[in-house]
This record gives sequence, structure tokens and C-alpha cells, in this order.
Amino acid sequence: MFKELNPLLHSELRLAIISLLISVESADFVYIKEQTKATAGNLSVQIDKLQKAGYINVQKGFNGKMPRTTCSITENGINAFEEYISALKSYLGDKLR
Amino acid sequence: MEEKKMSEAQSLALITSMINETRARITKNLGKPFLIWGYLTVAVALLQATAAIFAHDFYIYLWGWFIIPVVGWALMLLFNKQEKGATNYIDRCLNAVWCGIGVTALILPLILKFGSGLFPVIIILMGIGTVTTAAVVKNKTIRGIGYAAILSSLLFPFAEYILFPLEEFCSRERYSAECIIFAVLIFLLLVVSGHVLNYKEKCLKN
Repeated sequence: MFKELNPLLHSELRLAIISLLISVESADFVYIKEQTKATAGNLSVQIDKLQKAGYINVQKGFNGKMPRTTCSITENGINAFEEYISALKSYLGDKLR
Repeated sequence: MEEKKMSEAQSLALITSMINETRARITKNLGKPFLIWGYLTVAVALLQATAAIFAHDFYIYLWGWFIIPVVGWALMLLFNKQEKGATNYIDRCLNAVWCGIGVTALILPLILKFGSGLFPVIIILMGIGTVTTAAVVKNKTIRGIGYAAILSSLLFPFAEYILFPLEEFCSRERYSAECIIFAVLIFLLLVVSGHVLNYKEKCLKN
């Protein structure tokens, strides 16, 4: 029986954001935008969804006079990502061997 | 990148690519600080070697060693601009280790000049270890204690120089004073740090 893939993570941009944040301590909005090649508006919406789900922390601050939004993954986010990977493995089990 | 559904294989490919890109960023420019400090130190050492043989007033040239920290940091600021936007665990740990070693390189000559023994060197090594641990567990208190301990190793030459004149170099009193300073610093460095770490761990569990 296949595990269900978390619908919140099974979307290209949200998965890209979480995969990026899993390998860094924190990343700012501009960096995530460059790496994911998303538009600012779309990225903003997806970050908001992940934050509401408790998967990421978003901190708004200033770098000099410039506003700066920094994101980091939470414990919940790490658990959700691990579960997602484990579900993916169940789908791709045969191909991965 | 739009919000679209993917196949399982596409998901895996996306995760792999994002993680690989971040990993590539970690190893980017890693060799630059080595080259800056390496070439600079080689140049100053060769300059010293030449001055020792040919210079008339050789002792003035000993100040030349201070070129290393001054020029080194200037070159680091100019040429080793770190890519901003994301911080990661490895950057933080590497910075802690090299900052600890950098501070040590500055104060060790002073300690050696005043003929202090092994105790301050042990304190410095423990201090570097503590600073590194602090970076790993992300604890500012422990980091402060580590740096304070590294700097406190200067207490050895200072206390010995003030309390005991040089003619008493091998006296029991001097050795006893060294042992007391050592015990106090180790208490602060390891025992206090240990309790702080245990306390934090307990707070996290509750």
C-alpha cells in the first residue's frame, strides 16, 4: 500500500523551498527567489502557506535600510519532509533498487 | 517555478538538485582564505629570514610579524566576500574554529615571550574546543566563555610577572599560583559550560 504524499509538499515550488531550507540554517527571500527562479509574488504566497502549516519560520527584519525576510525550516517541517521522502521511496522503491 | 503537481520521479529530481546546489555553494571559495593567509605568512617569514641575515638593526624587523594579522584581515575583507543570502551549519562551524585559532595566533606569542609553561596552552586548546562546540550547538553563552578563556590564558604571564619576579622561575609558590589559575579557568571553561549545556538540554526537553 502506497503512503499518501503530503499535498502541501507535493508542489514544485513549495518542495523546492523546503529542499533548499533543509540544507541551510536560514535563507533570505532574495536567495530563495534566485535559487527557485520563482516570481516574488508566487514565492510569497507559497512561503505564507508553508509558514501557516508550521513548516517554516519567517522573520522580517532589516539589513541596513533594506527590508529583509529570512526563512528557516522548523522541526515540524523537517518531520514533514522526512515523511514525504519516505512516502516517495514507497512509490519509487522498485526503481531505486 | 510555478505551483504545479509533479510525478514522484520529478519530486526526487527536484529535491536532489536543490540540495546539490546548496552543497556546491558551501564548497565555493573554500580555498581562498587558505591562499590569502598562506602566501602572506610565507612572504613575511621569508622577509624575516632575509632581515635576520642582512638587516643592520634586526630587532625592529620582528614587528614585521604583525603585518600578518593586519594585512591578512584587510585582504580577507577585500577578497573573501562571502556569498550572502543563506547561512549554513558548516560556515558557522568553520568560522568558529578559525576565529579561535586566529585569536590564539595573536596571543600565543605574548604567552611564549614571558616564558609561561604548558598551562596557558592547554587553556587555549580547551577554549578552541569550547568555541567550536558552541558553534555546533549554537550557544552564545558557551561561545563567550570559550573566547574569554582563550583571552584569560594571558593571565598566566601577567600574574607570574607581577606576583613572582623572574629569579623565582622554578619556585613552588609560582607553580602553586599557576595551578590555582589553571583550576579556576578550567572550572569556568568546562564545568560551567557543562552545566549551561545540561540546563539548556533540560529546558528543551520540558
